[in-house]
Amino acid sequence: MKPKMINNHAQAITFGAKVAPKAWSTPWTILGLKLITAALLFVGSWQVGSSAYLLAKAHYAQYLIANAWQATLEDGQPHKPWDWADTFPVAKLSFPTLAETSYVLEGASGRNMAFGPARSISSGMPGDSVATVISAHNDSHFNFLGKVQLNDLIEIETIAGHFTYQVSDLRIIDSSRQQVTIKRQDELILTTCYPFNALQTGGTMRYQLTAQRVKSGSDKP
Amino acid sequence: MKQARHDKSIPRDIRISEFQQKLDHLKSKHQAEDVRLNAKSKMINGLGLNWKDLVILSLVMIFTTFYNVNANAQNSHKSTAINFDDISSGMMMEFNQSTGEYHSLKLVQTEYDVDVVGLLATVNLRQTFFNDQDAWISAAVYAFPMAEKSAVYQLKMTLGERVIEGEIHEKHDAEQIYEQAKSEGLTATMVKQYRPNIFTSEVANIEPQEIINVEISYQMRLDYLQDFYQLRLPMAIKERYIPADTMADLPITTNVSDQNYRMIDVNLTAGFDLFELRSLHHNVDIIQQAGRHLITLKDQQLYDNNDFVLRWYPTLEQTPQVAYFSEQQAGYNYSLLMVMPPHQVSKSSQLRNITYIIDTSGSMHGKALDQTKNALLFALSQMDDSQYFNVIDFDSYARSLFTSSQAATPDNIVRALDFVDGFDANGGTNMAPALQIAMQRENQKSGYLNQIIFMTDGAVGNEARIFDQIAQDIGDARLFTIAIGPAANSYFMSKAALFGRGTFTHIAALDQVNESMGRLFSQLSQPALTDVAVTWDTPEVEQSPRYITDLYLGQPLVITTKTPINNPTGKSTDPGSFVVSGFSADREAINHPQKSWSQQIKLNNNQHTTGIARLWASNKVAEMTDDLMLGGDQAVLKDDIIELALAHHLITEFTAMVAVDRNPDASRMARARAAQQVPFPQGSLGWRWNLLVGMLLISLAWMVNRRWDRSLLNSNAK
Repeated sequence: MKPKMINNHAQAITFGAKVAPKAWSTPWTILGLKLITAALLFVGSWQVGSSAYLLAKAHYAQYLIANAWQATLEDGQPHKPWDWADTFPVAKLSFPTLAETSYVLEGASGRNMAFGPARSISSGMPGDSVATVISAHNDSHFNFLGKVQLNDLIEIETIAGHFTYQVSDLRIIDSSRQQVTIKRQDELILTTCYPFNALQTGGTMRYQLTAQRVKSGSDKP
Repeated sequence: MKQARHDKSIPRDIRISEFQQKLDHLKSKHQAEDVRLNAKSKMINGLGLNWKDLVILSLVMIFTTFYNVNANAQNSHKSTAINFDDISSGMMMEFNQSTGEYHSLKLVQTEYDVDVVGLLATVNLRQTFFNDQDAWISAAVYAFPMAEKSAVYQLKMTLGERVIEGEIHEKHDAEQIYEQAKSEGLTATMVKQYRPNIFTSEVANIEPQEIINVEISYQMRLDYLQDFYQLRLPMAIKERYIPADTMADLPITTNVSDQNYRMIDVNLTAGFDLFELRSLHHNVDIIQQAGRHLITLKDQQLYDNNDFVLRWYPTLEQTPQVAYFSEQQAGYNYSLLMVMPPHQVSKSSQLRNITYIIDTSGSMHGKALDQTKNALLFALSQMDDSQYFNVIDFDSYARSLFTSSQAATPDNIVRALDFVDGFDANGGTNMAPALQIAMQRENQKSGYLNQIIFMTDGAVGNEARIFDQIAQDIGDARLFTIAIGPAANSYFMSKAALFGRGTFTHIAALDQVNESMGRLFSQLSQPALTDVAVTWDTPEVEQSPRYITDLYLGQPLVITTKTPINNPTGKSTDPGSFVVSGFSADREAINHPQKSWSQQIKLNNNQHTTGIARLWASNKVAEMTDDLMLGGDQAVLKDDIIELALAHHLITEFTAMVAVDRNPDASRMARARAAQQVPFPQGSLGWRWNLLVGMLLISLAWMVNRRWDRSLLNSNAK
């Protein structure tokens, strides 16, 4: 370790001598460097902070939404998870095989999806003879969606009761060419961005999971 | 560099001690914040970056954070989206509401049935498309590129039991029908023109695996180019629109042998003897029978990207040739008369007196005037002394070269060349005095063909007054107008030429001025038949165009007329006749260079041609629309245009085509069965990228800080 250190010192001194030494000591250079450092630190922390904020929002909002859902189950009325929310939970979605649970909000807008999975308003509700479409982000609430396998069971709880669906189709779709088809049958469609674990976002590929209703004993009609 | 080498030569331990000294010095001089140097930071300094690099690097990083480079933004599939400007043949396209993009449906079959009568082509196109997806298509558009001078008069789309048909209605009614259908949730669309020559019609709710039949009929006026007529049927589907390696697995394959089966049948009645008939890009079978040619495409399953182009060359004779076609409809006889010029006219055969009027106002400055001058200089140098001429230039004022037109003697030509060469572009555009001078008696010679050639790029103020002036003073002179550049007032210029019984030429591209003018000048030097007149033996003749121009080499004359079948003489068996006459050049008779020519044509009602009535009507509508702009009686003309348009299925200023659902029940069922579609919601929060960039920026800040401390240390040691 020691010889390496010495070597590095030598390079550092050499480097310092190469560049006109005077320039480094002027007040302007020092100010400039201080400003650059400050700017870098500021923008960097802002970036880290905003991503932390996004994650925290996504995670902790679910607790508030869970409370709202409990209230809804008790009195059958929609409850806002927080005062200024313009949405309310409509279902509890669980994946028994992966031990994942989340609460579904009404209206698949970008704003709602920051807090949890969201249902497309023009789609149906479990138990209807119209497909239910629920979407969430692949780097928050649906980050496990790629692990769901064919024939896995998905459970969903609504005011109307408990419903079980079995995964029948997994596919990747180009959203610029195709849209979600809402068939006139009781099925559950979950969508999220594809590919999973991508650094960049805003692409057009979507991962679509389709599950068919299974009439199991636990289902309430 | 010298110093660097010098440093290296210092023994290591001395350098270490030197470093220690510097460190101590720094410690004493600066506060604790500067003295965060430790072994690790020294290693980072070893990266060897200088501060400029760091500044650039950090700026790049900051820039990238704000400019969110989206790796997926340019996906390959986007290339399959269709730009309407690229559409070169009939195409059915799926419209994606979430992206606003169009994607083409598979074209299965194309069938062209074309009837050509003289220069009128009636095209019946049937196309079959196939939705090869397993999904419903909620919105689709049929688009077809129209050639210039063509008009759609019929449209029919069939999807299973659904039939959507185009109907011509008065604009107001069409809008009502459209609104009503829309409120009932039915498919109804206004047939629109996306851009002047693309025709579109929408259709909703196409079932998976459904076949769509489109039938469209349109009429097209063919142009005579140099010495041939040409029919072009658009075929090319640009390569990228054909889905790769997708062989059609059609559910209905009984009468479809290939995914791109096509048939082309052309029934050509040229009206003249043909010197040659050929297809440019395709193998065809040609059967000749009684003045007709039946042309059939040979390789029906071979679908290449070339347009189908058919050319025919009429045999040119020494005398003008007349072709006549007629159609009977609702008690009237509609006729199409074409006069072909003789094949060669010697240049000096016709005595001409030419007056050139050139606009030299400020707006002509540059290319426009330079090229006009070139063309004019060339035209002047080609004249001989049997001809008379004069040159007038105008800006705010008009100046003429001679007080009266002079023989084109070498001396006079030299004077003219000097005059033209001295043109300089400035001043305003006041064309009335120049026209007045040109039409004066001094500049007109009797016994000569008086041609006034008028070139300008300008707009005109008091149009109506100038039209009056032309109509009143033109005498037997001909006025040819040339509009230069895109800003020229084409409407005025074409109308002026019409009043002046000449032609109008628009040269939009400034680099073609010289060439286009040259062509026109040479054409004008070869009049083939002048003072053409058509005389009918029946009254109530409605002829369009009203003014008949002279016949020049390479320019056929086309006249359409409407006459009542039962002429008042009561002789219903006599279909009537007419006489076409004019003066043609005669190169043998030097003293009487003009020879009168005439031909009598008996109407015959045996020909089974269609479309002539519609051609007459559209010519008539064009004339009436001009009259409207010239200040004709609004109410009367509008009613006349609407009446004609409804009777002949024409899309005009006052009528529109609206696609009406013929089987609303089937459409309602399709709508009910169609699965609803919603666009995919977003799919990721996108925190990963922000986190990565943020961390990178913070570590950069740290590096800059280290570098700065180190440098300070060095400089202080000096």
